[in-house]
Amino acid sequence: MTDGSIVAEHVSRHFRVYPTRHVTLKEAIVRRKHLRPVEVWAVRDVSLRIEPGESVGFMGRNGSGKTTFLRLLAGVYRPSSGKLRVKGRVGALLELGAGFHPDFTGRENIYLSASIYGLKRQEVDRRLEAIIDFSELGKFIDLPIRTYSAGMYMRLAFSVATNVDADILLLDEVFAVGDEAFQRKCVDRILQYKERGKTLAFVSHSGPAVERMCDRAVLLRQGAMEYDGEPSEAIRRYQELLAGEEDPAERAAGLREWGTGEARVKDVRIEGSDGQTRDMFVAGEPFVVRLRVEPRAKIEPPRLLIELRDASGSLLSRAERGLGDLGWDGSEASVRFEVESLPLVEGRFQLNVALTDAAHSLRYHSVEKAAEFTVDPQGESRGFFVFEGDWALEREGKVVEAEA
Amino acid sequence: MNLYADVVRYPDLFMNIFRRELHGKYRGSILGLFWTLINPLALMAVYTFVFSILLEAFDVEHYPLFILSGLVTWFFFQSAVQMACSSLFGQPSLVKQVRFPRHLLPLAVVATNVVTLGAMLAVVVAVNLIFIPETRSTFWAAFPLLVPLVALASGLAVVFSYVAVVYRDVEHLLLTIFLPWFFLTPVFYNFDRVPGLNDRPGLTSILYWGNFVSPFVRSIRDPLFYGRWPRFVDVIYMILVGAAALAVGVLVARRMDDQVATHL
Repeated sequence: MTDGSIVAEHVSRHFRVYPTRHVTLKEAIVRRKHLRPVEVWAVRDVSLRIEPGESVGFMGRNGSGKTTFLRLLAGVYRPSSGKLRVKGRVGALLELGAGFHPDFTGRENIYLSASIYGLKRQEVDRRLEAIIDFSELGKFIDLPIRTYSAGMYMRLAFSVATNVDADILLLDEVFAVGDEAFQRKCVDRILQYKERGKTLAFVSHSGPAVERMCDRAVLLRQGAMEYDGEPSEAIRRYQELLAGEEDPAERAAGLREWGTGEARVKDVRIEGSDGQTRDMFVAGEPFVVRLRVEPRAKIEPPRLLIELRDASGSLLSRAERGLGDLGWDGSEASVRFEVESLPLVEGRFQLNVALTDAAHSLRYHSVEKAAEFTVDPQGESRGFFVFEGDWALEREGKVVEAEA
Repeated sequence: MNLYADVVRYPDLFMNIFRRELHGKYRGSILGLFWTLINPLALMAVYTFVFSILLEAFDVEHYPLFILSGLVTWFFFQSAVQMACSSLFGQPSLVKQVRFPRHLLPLAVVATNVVTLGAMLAVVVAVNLIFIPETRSTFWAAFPLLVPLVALASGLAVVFSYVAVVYRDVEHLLLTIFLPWFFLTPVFYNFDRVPGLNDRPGLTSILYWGNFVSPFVRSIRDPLFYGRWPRFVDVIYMILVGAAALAVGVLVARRMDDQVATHL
């Protein structure tokens, strides 16, 4: 077996879950029968092989055993049955800032944290600069980390975990902290890992993240392996699994819609001036959004929000209107939003549509990527937006009339 | 016994954890070390006042030094075991991150207490050498006896740190036990000077041999305070108790290792 490979053969892990959070010795002695634990199989009969250089995403609903499986790989738990072989040094970001001492400086914490991953002092010495550099902490590195922000803390933890020359890097979604620039750096670092032939195992709820970083994805369901293969297929199946799920947080993470459900948006379509549904436009063309609002309970007139976002999901602009202003009578209605001339020049865009109550405090229904479309440029303009105006030449305060 | 050898096998890791614990204990200052000496000195003062002055119960020359020479042992033992208790369950994020020799956590706590022990001993030895000349030839004999003492504390530290992860009330239980245990240990008295034990050799033996800390307190005090050599039988007893504690520590750690991760 080479460093960086993982072989799991029929790995299972069960836990005894006690009815109370912590068992006390008193309870254990005095009332034994109240302490009947429930057996929970967190991982059931998982068999897989991961070769060095692979990056594998683990997906699944909350409680599907993803994190337990990563902890098994990290050696924190041992399998209850089955065989698990993990070869090489393991770097892990499963718990935020593990082993950091708040009163120690960033630098001291690097030594502490790296030694937990198994590095000797001289090995840390050699990597110290790289770790500090990557964390972008600069002069803060010599301040106690209790003075750090959550983002700084995270950056340091990520920097240590990915700089210990691990053959296998285990990541729980925790690293989705920090600003966008740092996140991009993290992704780059992870992709570098792959290139150097290291192994990555990564737990995520986010389809795009898995698609971007993994060339293989495993879908777990109630501890068992449901699918192992193409990320896109795993994501599709995962979303199918989620479809019946009511937990809003989970839906938000994995699915495109959520909300309290008193009213729903449906049939979102984009049309051109001719009334035909389209997904390609030319800059400056008329652009119409049509959708239906379906009330499911008696509610005050809601507000309708249409967000225009770029392909990466950044908000570009938002249009908003109270349906009461439009004379809504409380029944199912069709809404039209017309843009006379599309102010976009080029790119791929998406619309998110949401229905909220008048005060914006309740979100009845929210649909991400309700529609997607591309815009092609016209003439010489480039970029995102139409940026047009009248040009003129002035001389001595007077506009020079161009000769026809 | 590999468990204890890990201290030497992972010197950098152990030193880092040790420094971290030390920092937590002394707040990163020499003054911090000083503060930890205040507690035993205060105990010494109050016991001298109550038992020697108010009750006139003990007519021992240099009574404060007598107490202090016993407190060294007891204080180290109690605070090492008590503090080690939370060393695992107090760090769930560390224990659940990646596999590493977890038992180094309680052992590092013991090591920080060895530092306090050293400081206390330095004070006690210095003062005793000045006021009790007959200790000048024997005081060094106390030092080798610290080996079984540290072994005893290490073994129990590992045991209680592991057990406390599963049974959280063990920490409080220990607090409750330590107080009566202290009074049953001959720290501020001596069994041969207790009127109630005068013609009860059976009870004396039970109290002495049944409480495994007693021979430690006595044997370490003998060369430190009385200028006497420790008794051979006590030394054998201490070695056996120390070894037994280490062995129980290994057994418990091995049995409970997996439970530790899952209970956090």
